[in-house]
Amino acid sequence: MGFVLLLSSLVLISLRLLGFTLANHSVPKVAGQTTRLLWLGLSLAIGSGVLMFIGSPRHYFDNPAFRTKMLLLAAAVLVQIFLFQGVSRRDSPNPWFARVSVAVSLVLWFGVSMAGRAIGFV
Amino acid sequence: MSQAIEDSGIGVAIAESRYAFPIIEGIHLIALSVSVGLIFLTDLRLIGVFLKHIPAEDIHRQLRPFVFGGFTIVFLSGGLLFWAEAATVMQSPPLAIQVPVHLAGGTERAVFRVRDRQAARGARRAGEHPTQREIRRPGVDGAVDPRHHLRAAGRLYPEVAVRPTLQVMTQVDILAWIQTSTLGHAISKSITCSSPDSRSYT
Repeated sequence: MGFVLLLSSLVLISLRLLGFTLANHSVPKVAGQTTRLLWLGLSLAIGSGVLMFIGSPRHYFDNPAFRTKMLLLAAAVLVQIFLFQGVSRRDSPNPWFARVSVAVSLVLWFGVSMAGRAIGFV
Repeated sequence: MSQAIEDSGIGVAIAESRYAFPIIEGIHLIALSVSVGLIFLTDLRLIGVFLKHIPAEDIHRQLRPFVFGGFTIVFLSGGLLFWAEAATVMQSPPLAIQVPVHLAGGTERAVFRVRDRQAARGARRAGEHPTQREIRRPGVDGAVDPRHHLRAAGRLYPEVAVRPTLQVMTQVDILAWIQTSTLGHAISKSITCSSPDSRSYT
Protein backbone atom coordinates (compact mmCIF):
# COMPACT_ATOMS: atom_id res chain seq x y z
CA MET A 1 0.00 0.00 0.00
CA GLY A 2 2.81 2.38 0.91
CA PHE A 3 4.78 1.42 -2.16
CA VAL A 4 1.71 1.79 -4.37
CA LEU A 5 1.34 5.36 -3.14
CA LEU A 6 5.05 6.07 -3.53
CA LEU A 7 5.40 4.67 -7.06
CA SER A 8 2.22 6.23 -8.42
CA SER A 9 3.09 9.67 -7.00
CA LEU A 10 6.57 9.37 -8.44
CA VAL A 11 5.23 8.35 -11.84
CA LEU A 12 2.70 11.19 -11.82
CA ILE A 13 5.38 13.82 -11.15
CA SER A 14 7.71 12.18 -13.66
CA LEU A 15 5.07 12.17 -16.38
CA ARG A 16 4.43 15.85 -15.73
CA LEU A 17 8.16 16.68 -15.78
CA LEU A 18 8.47 14.93 -19.13
CA GLY A 19 5.42 16.82 -20.36
CA PHE A 20 3.39 13.67 -21.03
CA THR A 21 0.47 14.54 -18.80
CA LEU A 22 -1.26 17.61 -17.32
CA ALA A 23 1.00 19.79 -19.49
CA ASN A 24 -1.55 22.60 -19.15
CA HIS A 25 -0.74 22.87 -15.44
CA SER A 26 2.57 24.05 -14.02
CA VAL A 27 5.08 21.58 -12.58
CA PRO A 28 4.96 22.85 -8.97
CA LYS A 29 1.16 22.82 -9.07
CA VAL A 30 1.13 19.14 -9.92
CA ALA A 31 4.18 18.18 -7.86
CA GLY A 32 3.44 20.02 -4.59
CA GLN A 33 0.80 17.84 -2.97
CA THR A 34 1.93 14.79 -4.89
CA THR A 35 5.38 15.04 -3.31
CA ARG A 36 3.81 14.98 0.14
CA LEU A 37 1.88 11.87 -0.83
CA LEU A 38 5.15 10.34 -2.05
CA TRP A 39 6.80 10.84 1.34
CA LEU A 40 3.69 9.50 3.07
CA GLY A 41 3.94 6.40 0.89
CA LEU A 42 7.62 6.00 1.70
CA SER A 43 6.96 6.33 5.44
CA LEU A 44 4.27 3.64 5.27
CA ALA A 45 6.61 1.38 3.31
CA ILE A 46 9.50 1.93 5.70
CA GLY A 47 7.25 1.46 8.72
CA SER A 48 5.92 -1.89 7.50
CA GLY A 49 9.38 -2.86 6.24
CA VAL A 50 10.92 -2.27 9.66
CA LEU A 51 8.24 -4.46 11.25
CA MET A 52 9.03 -7.23 8.77
CA PHE A 53 12.75 -6.85 9.44
CA ILE A 54 12.23 -7.11 13.18
CA GLY A 55 10.32 -10.32 12.53
CA SER A 56 13.39 -12.16 11.20
CA PRO A 57 16.44 -9.89 11.13
CA ARG A 58 18.97 -12.65 10.50
CA HIS A 59 17.11 -13.88 7.48
CA TYR A 60 17.22 -10.44 5.91
CA PHE A 61 20.59 -9.20 7.06
CA ASP A 62 22.60 -11.92 5.35
CA ASN A 63 20.56 -11.75 2.19
CA PRO A 64 22.47 -10.12 -0.71
CA ALA A 65 19.25 -8.93 -2.34
CA PHE A 66 18.28 -7.19 0.90
CA ARG A 67 21.62 -5.37 1.04
CA THR A 68 21.27 -4.31 -2.58
CA LYS A 69 17.79 -3.08 -1.82
CA MET A 70 18.97 -0.97 1.13
CA LEU A 71 21.77 0.58 -0.96
CA LEU A 72 19.36 1.38 -3.79
CA LEU A 73 16.87 2.76 -1.28
CA ALA A 74 19.47 5.09 0.23
CA ALA A 75 20.53 6.25 -3.24
CA ALA A 76 16.91 6.75 -4.31
CA VAL A 77 16.09 8.84 -1.23
CA LEU A 78 19.20 11.01 -1.75
CA VAL A 79 18.36 11.54 -5.43
CA GLN A 80 14.79 12.34 -4.44
CA ILE A 81 15.86 14.99 -1.93
CA PHE A 82 18.76 16.61 -3.78
CA LEU A 83 17.79 16.26 -7.43
CA PHE A 84 14.14 15.48 -7.97
CA GLN A 85 12.70 17.85 -5.36
CA GLY A 86 14.69 20.76 -6.77
CA VAL A 87 13.56 20.07 -10.32
CA SER A 88 9.90 19.65 -9.43
CA ARG A 89 9.82 22.95 -7.52
CA ARG A 90 10.68 25.06 -10.56
CA ASP A 91 8.10 26.48 -12.88
CA SER A 92 10.06 25.64 -15.99
CA PRO A 93 12.92 23.29 -15.18
CA ASN A 94 15.65 22.71 -17.72
CA PRO A 95 14.15 19.92 -19.86
CA TRP A 96 17.31 17.82 -19.98
CA PHE A 97 17.94 18.22 -16.28
CA ALA A 98 14.36 17.14 -15.69
CA ARG A 99 14.69 14.13 -17.99
CA VAL A 100 17.89 12.98 -16.33
CA SER A 101 16.40 13.34 -12.83
CA VAL A 102 13.32 11.40 -13.87
CA ALA A 103 15.38 8.62 -15.45
CA VAL A 104 17.74 8.26 -12.48
CA SER A 105 14.92 8.37 -9.98
CA LEU A 106 12.68 5.88 -11.78
CA VAL A 107 15.57 3.44 -12.31
CA LEU A 108 16.49 3.61 -8.61
CA TRP A 109 12.94 3.21 -7.27
CA PHE A 110 12.05 0.41 -9.68
CA GLY A 111 15.38 -1.13 -8.70
CA VAL A 112 14.37 -0.99 -5.04
CA SER A 113 11.15 -2.77 -5.99
CA MET A 114 12.91 -5.46 -7.99
CA ALA A 115 15.56 -6.03 -5.35
CA GLY A 116 12.82 -6.29 -2.74
CA ARG A 117 11.09 -8.90 -4.82
CA ALA A 118 14.38 -10.74 -5.29
CA ILE A 119 14.85 -11.18 -1.52
CA GLY A 120 12.48 -14.12 -1.65
CA PHE A 121 14.30 -15.79 -4.52
CA VAL A 122 17.94 -15.84 -3.42
CA MET B 1 -5.17 -28.21 -20.02
CA SER B 2 -3.38 -25.93 -17.59
CA GLN B 3 -0.79 -28.67 -17.22
CA ALA B 4 -0.27 -28.62 -21.01
CA ILE B 5 0.25 -24.85 -20.90
CA GLU B 6 2.76 -25.25 -18.12
CA ASP B 7 4.63 -27.99 -20.00
CA SER B 8 4.88 -26.00 -23.21
CA GLY B 9 8.22 -24.57 -24.35
CA ILE B 10 7.83 -21.03 -23.12
CA GLY B 11 6.18 -22.13 -19.89
CA VAL B 12 9.12 -24.35 -18.98
CA ALA B 13 11.62 -21.71 -20.10
CA ILE B 14 10.13 -19.09 -17.76
CA ALA B 15 9.72 -21.46 -14.84
CA GLU B 16 13.25 -22.85 -15.11
CA SER B 17 15.15 -19.69 -15.83
CA ARG B 18 16.82 -18.31 -12.79
CA TYR B 19 16.04 -14.72 -13.72
CA ALA B 20 13.04 -14.73 -16.04
CA PHE B 21 10.42 -15.47 -13.41
CA PRO B 22 11.46 -12.91 -10.78
CA ILE B 23 12.03 -10.22 -13.42
CA ILE B 24 8.67 -10.72 -15.11
CA GLU B 25 7.04 -10.85 -11.71
CA GLY B 26 8.77 -7.62 -10.70
CA ILE B 27 7.53 -5.89 -13.84
CA HIS B 28 4.05 -7.27 -13.18
CA LEU B 29 3.99 -5.88 -9.63
CA ILE B 30 5.48 -2.49 -10.54
CA ALA B 31 3.00 -1.99 -13.40
CA LEU B 32 0.15 -3.04 -11.11
CA SER B 33 1.25 -0.65 -8.37
CA VAL B 34 1.54 2.25 -10.79
CA SER B 35 -1.80 1.70 -12.55
CA VAL B 36 -3.77 1.02 -9.42
CA GLY B 37 -1.98 3.92 -7.72
CA LEU B 38 -2.87 6.32 -10.51
CA ILE B 39 -6.50 5.22 -10.24
CA PHE B 40 -6.25 5.84 -6.52
CA LEU B 41 -4.85 9.36 -7.09
CA THR B 42 -7.64 10.06 -9.59
CA ASP B 43 -10.18 8.94 -7.03
CA LEU B 44 -8.61 11.11 -4.35
CA ARG B 45 -9.09 14.04 -6.74
CA LEU B 46 -12.68 13.02 -7.45
CA ILE B 47 -13.57 13.06 -3.76
CA GLY B 48 -11.83 16.42 -3.55
CA VAL B 49 -8.94 15.80 -1.19
CA PHE B 50 -6.05 15.90 -3.67
CA LEU B 51 -4.84 18.55 -6.19
CA LYS B 52 -8.04 20.56 -5.84
CA HIS B 53 -6.70 23.40 -7.97
CA ILE B 54 -6.54 21.14 -11.02
CA PRO B 55 -9.92 20.26 -12.58
CA ALA B 56 -10.95 16.70 -11.80
CA GLU B 57 -11.58 16.13 -15.43
CA ASP B 58 -8.02 17.01 -16.42
CA ILE B 59 -6.65 14.50 -13.96
CA HIS B 60 -9.17 11.87 -14.94
CA ARG B 61 -8.76 12.25 -18.70
CA GLN B 62 -5.03 12.81 -18.87
CA LEU B 63 -4.03 9.99 -16.54
CA ARG B 64 -6.33 7.48 -18.16
CA PRO B 65 -4.01 6.48 -21.05
CA PHE B 66 -1.26 5.69 -18.55
CA VAL B 67 -3.62 3.66 -16.38
CA PHE B 68 -4.71 1.58 -19.35
CA GLY B 69 -1.15 1.34 -20.65
CA GLY B 70 -0.05 0.08 -17.24
CA PHE B 71 -2.81 -2.51 -17.15
CA THR B 72 -1.75 -3.74 -20.59
CA ILE B 73 1.68 -4.48 -19.12
CA VAL B 74 0.04 -6.11 -16.09
CA PHE B 75 -2.00 -8.46 -18.25
CA LEU B 76 0.86 -9.32 -20.61
CA SER B 77 3.30 -10.09 -17.80
CA GLY B 78 0.56 -11.83 -15.80
CA GLY B 79 -0.13 -14.00 -18.84
CA LEU B 80 3.53 -15.03 -19.02
CA LEU B 81 3.60 -15.87 -15.31
CA PHE B 82 0.45 -17.92 -15.67
CA TRP B 83 2.02 -19.73 -18.60
CA ALA B 84 4.87 -20.86 -16.41
CA GLU B 85 2.76 -22.29 -13.62
CA ALA B 86 -0.75 -22.66 -14.91
CA ALA B 87 -1.50 -25.96 -13.23
CA THR B 88 -0.51 -24.82 -9.75
CA VAL B 89 -2.18 -21.46 -10.01
CA MET B 90 -5.43 -22.91 -11.28
CA GLN B 91 -5.83 -24.81 -8.01
CA SER B 92 -4.99 -21.83 -5.91
CA PRO B 93 -7.87 -20.33 -3.92
CA PRO B 94 -6.55 -16.74 -4.22
CA LEU B 95 -6.77 -16.85 -8.02
CA ALA B 96 -10.47 -17.53 -7.71
CA ILE B 97 -10.68 -14.20 -5.91
CA GLN B 98 -8.16 -12.25 -7.95
CA VAL B 99 -9.66 -12.81 -11.38
CA PRO B 100 -13.20 -11.69 -10.41
CA VAL B 101 -11.72 -8.69 -8.58
CA HIS B 102 -9.82 -7.70 -11.72
CA LEU B 103 -12.92 -8.14 -13.84
CA ALA B 104 -15.05 -6.16 -11.39
CA GLY B 105 -12.44 -3.41 -11.39
CA GLY B 106 -12.38 -3.31 -15.18
CA THR B 107 -16.16 -3.24 -15.39
CA GLU B 108 -16.35 -0.49 -12.81
CA ARG B 109 -13.95 1.65 -14.87
CA ALA B 110 -15.86 0.96 -18.08
CA VAL B 111 -19.18 1.85 -16.44
CA PHE B 112 -17.68 5.04 -15.09
CA ARG B 113 -16.43 5.96 -18.53
CA VAL B 114 -19.83 5.41 -20.12
CA ARG B 115 -21.63 7.38 -17.43
CA ASP B 116 -19.04 10.12 -17.70
CA ARG B 117 -19.85 10.43 -21.41
CA GLN B 118 -23.58 10.36 -20.73
CA ALA B 119 -23.19 13.10 -18.16
CA ALA B 120 -21.23 15.15 -20.69
CA ARG B 121 -23.93 14.70 -23.28
CA GLY B 122 -26.64 15.54 -20.75
CA ALA B 123 -24.81 18.68 -19.73
CA ARG B 124 -24.40 19.74 -23.35
CA ARG B 125 -28.08 19.24 -24.00
CA ALA B 126 -29.00 21.23 -20.93
CA GLY B 127 -26.93 24.08 -22.29
CA GLU B 128 -24.38 23.96 -19.50
CA HIS B 129 -21.68 22.92 -21.88
CA PRO B 130 -20.14 25.43 -24.27
CA THR B 131 -20.05 24.79 -28.00
CA GLN B 132 -16.81 23.70 -29.56
CA ARG B 133 -16.12 27.25 -30.72
CA GLU B 134 -16.12 28.54 -27.16
CA ILE B 135 -13.61 26.02 -25.98
CA ARG B 136 -10.33 27.81 -25.79
CA ARG B 137 -7.03 26.26 -24.96
CA PRO B 138 -7.24 25.79 -21.22
CA GLY B 139 -4.86 27.80 -19.14
CA VAL B 140 -4.21 30.41 -21.84
CA ASP B 141 -4.82 34.04 -20.82
CA GLY B 142 -6.32 32.79 -17.60
CA ALA B 143 -9.22 31.40 -19.57
CA VAL B 144 -11.19 29.06 -17.36
CA ASP B 145 -11.27 25.56 -18.69
CA PRO B 146 -14.92 25.26 -19.70
CA ARG B 147 -14.95 21.50 -19.94
CA HIS B 148 -16.23 21.08 -16.47
CA HIS B 149 -19.02 18.76 -17.25
CA LEU B 150 -17.72 16.26 -14.74
CA ARG B 151 -19.20 18.64 -12.23
CA ALA B 152 -22.57 17.79 -13.72
CA ALA B 153 -21.78 14.21 -12.83
CA GLY B 154 -20.96 15.24 -9.29
CA ARG B 155 -23.26 12.66 -7.81
CA LEU B 156 -20.88 10.04 -9.21
CA TYR B 157 -17.91 11.09 -7.14
CA PRO B 158 -18.34 9.27 -3.85
CA GLU B 159 -19.41 5.99 -5.34
CA VAL B 160 -16.56 5.84 -7.83
CA ALA B 161 -14.02 6.52 -5.17
CA VAL B 162 -14.79 3.70 -2.81
CA ARG B 163 -14.53 0.65 -5.00
CA PRO B 164 -11.07 1.19 -6.49
CA THR B 165 -9.72 2.02 -3.07
CA LEU B 166 -10.90 -1.34 -1.86
CA GLN B 167 -9.46 -2.78 -5.02
CA VAL B 168 -6.03 -1.38 -4.26
CA MET B 169 -5.95 -3.12 -0.95
CA THR B 170 -7.45 -6.42 -2.01
CA GLN B 171 -5.43 -6.83 -5.19
CA VAL B 172 -2.06 -6.19 -3.67
CA ASP B 173 -2.82 -8.40 -0.69
CA ILE B 174 -4.19 -11.13 -2.88
CA LEU B 175 -1.04 -11.07 -4.98
CA ALA B 176 1.07 -11.47 -1.89
CA TRP B 177 -1.18 -14.31 -0.85
CA ILE B 178 -0.84 -16.05 -4.21
CA GLN B 179 2.90 -15.95 -3.76
CA THR B 180 2.70 -17.63 -0.39
CA SER B 181 0.41 -20.40 -1.39
CA THR B 182 1.53 -21.27 -4.89
CA LEU B 183 4.83 -19.68 -5.86
CA GLY B 184 6.77 -21.39 -3.13
CA HIS B 185 5.58 -24.70 -4.40
CA ALA B 186 5.99 -23.91 -8.09
CA ILE B 187 9.45 -22.52 -7.74
CA SER B 188 10.98 -25.04 -5.42
CA LYS B 189 9.65 -27.60 -7.85
CA SER B 190 11.50 -26.17 -10.82
CA ILE B 191 14.46 -24.12 -9.67
CA THR B 192 17.14 -24.92 -7.18
CA CYS B 193 16.10 -22.32 -4.74
CA SER B 194 15.84 -22.05 -1.01
CA SER B 195 12.55 -21.10 0.59
CA PRO B 196 11.04 -18.15 -1.26
CA ASP B 197 9.76 -15.75 1.30
CA SER B 198 6.55 -14.04 0.39
CA ARG B 199 6.98 -11.53 3.18
CA SER B 200 9.78 -9.86 1.27
CA TYR B 201 7.16 -8.58 -1.11
CA THR B 202 7.77 -4.83 -1.23
